[in-house]
Amino acid sequence: MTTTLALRTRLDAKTPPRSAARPKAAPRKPHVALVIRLLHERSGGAERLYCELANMLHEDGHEVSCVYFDDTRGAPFFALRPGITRVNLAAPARPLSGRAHAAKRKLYNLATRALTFPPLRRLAWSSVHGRFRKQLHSYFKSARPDVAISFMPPANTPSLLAARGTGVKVIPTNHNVPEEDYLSPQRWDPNPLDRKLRLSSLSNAAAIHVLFPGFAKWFPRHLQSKIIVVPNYVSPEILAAAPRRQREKIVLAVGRIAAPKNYLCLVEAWALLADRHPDWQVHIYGVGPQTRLIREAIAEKGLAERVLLKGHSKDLQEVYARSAILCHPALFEGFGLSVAEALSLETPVVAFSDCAGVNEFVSDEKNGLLVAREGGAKALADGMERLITDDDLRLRLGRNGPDSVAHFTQERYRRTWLDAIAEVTAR
Amino acid sequence: MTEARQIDVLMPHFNDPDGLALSLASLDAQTATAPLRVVVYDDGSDTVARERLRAIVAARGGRLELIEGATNRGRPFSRNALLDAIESPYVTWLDAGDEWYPAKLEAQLAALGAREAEAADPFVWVTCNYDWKWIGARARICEQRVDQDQVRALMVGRNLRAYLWTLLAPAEAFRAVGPFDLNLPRLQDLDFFLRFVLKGGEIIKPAGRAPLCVYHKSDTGRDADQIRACNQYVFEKHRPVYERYGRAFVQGRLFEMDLLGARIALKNKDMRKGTGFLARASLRKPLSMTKRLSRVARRALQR
Repeated sequence: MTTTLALRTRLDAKTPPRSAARPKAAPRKPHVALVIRLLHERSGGAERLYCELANMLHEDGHEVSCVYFDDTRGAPFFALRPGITRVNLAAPARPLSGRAHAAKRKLYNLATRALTFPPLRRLAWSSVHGRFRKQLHSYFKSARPDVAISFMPPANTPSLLAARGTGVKVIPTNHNVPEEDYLSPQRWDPNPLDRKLRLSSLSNAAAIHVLFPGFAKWFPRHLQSKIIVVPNYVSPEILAAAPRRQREKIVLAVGRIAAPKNYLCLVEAWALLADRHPDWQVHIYGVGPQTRLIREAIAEKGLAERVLLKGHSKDLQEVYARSAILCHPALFEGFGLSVAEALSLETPVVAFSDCAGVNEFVSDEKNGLLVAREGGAKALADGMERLITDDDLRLRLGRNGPDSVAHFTQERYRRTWLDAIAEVTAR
Repeated sequence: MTEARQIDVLMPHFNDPDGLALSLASLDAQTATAPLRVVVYDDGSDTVARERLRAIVAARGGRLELIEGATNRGRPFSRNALLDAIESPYVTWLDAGDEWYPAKLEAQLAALGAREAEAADPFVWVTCNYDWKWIGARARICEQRVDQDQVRALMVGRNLRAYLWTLLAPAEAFRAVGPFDLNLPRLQDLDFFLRFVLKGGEIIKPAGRAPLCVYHKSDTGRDADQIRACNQYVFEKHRPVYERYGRAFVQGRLFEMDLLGARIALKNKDMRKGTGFLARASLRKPLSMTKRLSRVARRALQR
């Protein structure tokens, strides 16, 4: 904007009057709204990426708004830069106890599975997502962001539906294997209508984010042209650590202790090996809903001193750097971040060969060992044992690790998102 | 350390040299020892006012910078020009016509210093309690309550009010909010405050209940339609944030906006406009309106 301020008077006459005209404004960068369903005190991988992307875009000069729908009291777990607008669209509610929350969820799951009459399904869907969608629509209309990037299905579908008629371009992001996010009744809202809407609403997307080129193939042909591939990255803090030459006899596992990570299989596999390698231990880092189950399985196998649940760690880079092997028995992954982190610090990996999101960058006999799923715990145990007993193999695979994940950098992630935003807003 | 750093005092001015002189006198009486850089932006005052303004400035020697706008562009434009003029690490605002009590800056610098001791570069604004003084009436203390949901409190505007001249803050905490909205000839403070808090900013205040400044309040000459329109604009701009608190909250806010319009119109003897606003408020919340009217009637009878 040009201003016509006439005169600036400094009454100490020695100082020459300075032009009062405002400096020429730099070209405005797009306003990006990042949408997620829940954010308060959430420390998951998607929430971390959400906050880091917000910070990156803001640092780059974009106007950034973090939009979410969280009726709990609290604040984002990961720091957001000052100047990023936070818009919580949900009214604060009285907190439910953990038991009441679980009961409510169970009841809804039962009800939605029992409902076969479509209008009732729609009613059930609206009871969970309707307010979020309505509030988002109102937000899109009043704030008019140039582009909205939504995170995960509970935000993707409402964002895509809410953007209709507002002119806001939405990029839904997918942080998992597409068939799990779009087809599995076990994930996200069990209401069949929600699964249907997840896929059908993608027609409204300005672009569709996936983590790997291989994931793009899953989408229907008419959506293929909208796909953009942005893999996650290994954080600079991890890359700053130095891999140790002398490794401790630790088989490491890192991740949320939940069913998809398949840690029961790891415990079962270790039970087959424990007696043969008494100086080795398994360390599992992470917490999650299966913690008690895993603890019971460890006790049942008599492995209490051999398999340790270590909880959270703020120094995971040190843990990767000193451990000999990473075992990752997951059923599926969007992006096996712990695997990539371990490889970047020369820790070789044992995983199942059909684990999507891991087999995209782990190659059998190159930077790890991929074993057949059909072999179950026995195959996993065999893989681990090969690395335990063969020092040369372990070192060779470990040395190949950093190169195999060298392209998962924060800079590449940032650049790819900036390009995608520029392209979508230019259309 | 905070005490030694320079503070920019930003003063918008328009056709009120007496008010400016009053404000400058209160500035001179501050007990804080921090060096002050005073910047006045004159928003195209008329010739007489401008001459007087120049005389005031001349009388202060080199201790004041004057930026003269060629034409009257409105309060938000003046404030944006002042935002651009920031040079010091700390910034405070003082509207011509408002007054600070001597301890204001000292108390606020202490509060800011305490926060800076906890964390470097805090994203905070320091407000303060103030006296609210209608022309010809006694002052009453208005407490700024910062220990609450600040977004909601600002929208309600009862015990946390968006008054820029109560503030002291690091310069960056003002810059990060962006410019004042030029579409808001009135209430641009409210929009600016809301944007600050929504961007993760926190409003704090010095300990103690004492007022640190005074607001000389008058409705005379204010345009009820303009203020109601500005209120509506702020509402539309932040609609999802208002709606977050539910339908009753939204209706309550719109009701209060109509009542404010009515108050200003009636104080300016515009009965037609005033009753129009009252009618709109009654339609929006008939029960609340009845309660208000009965309260007013009761008070009148008591008198």
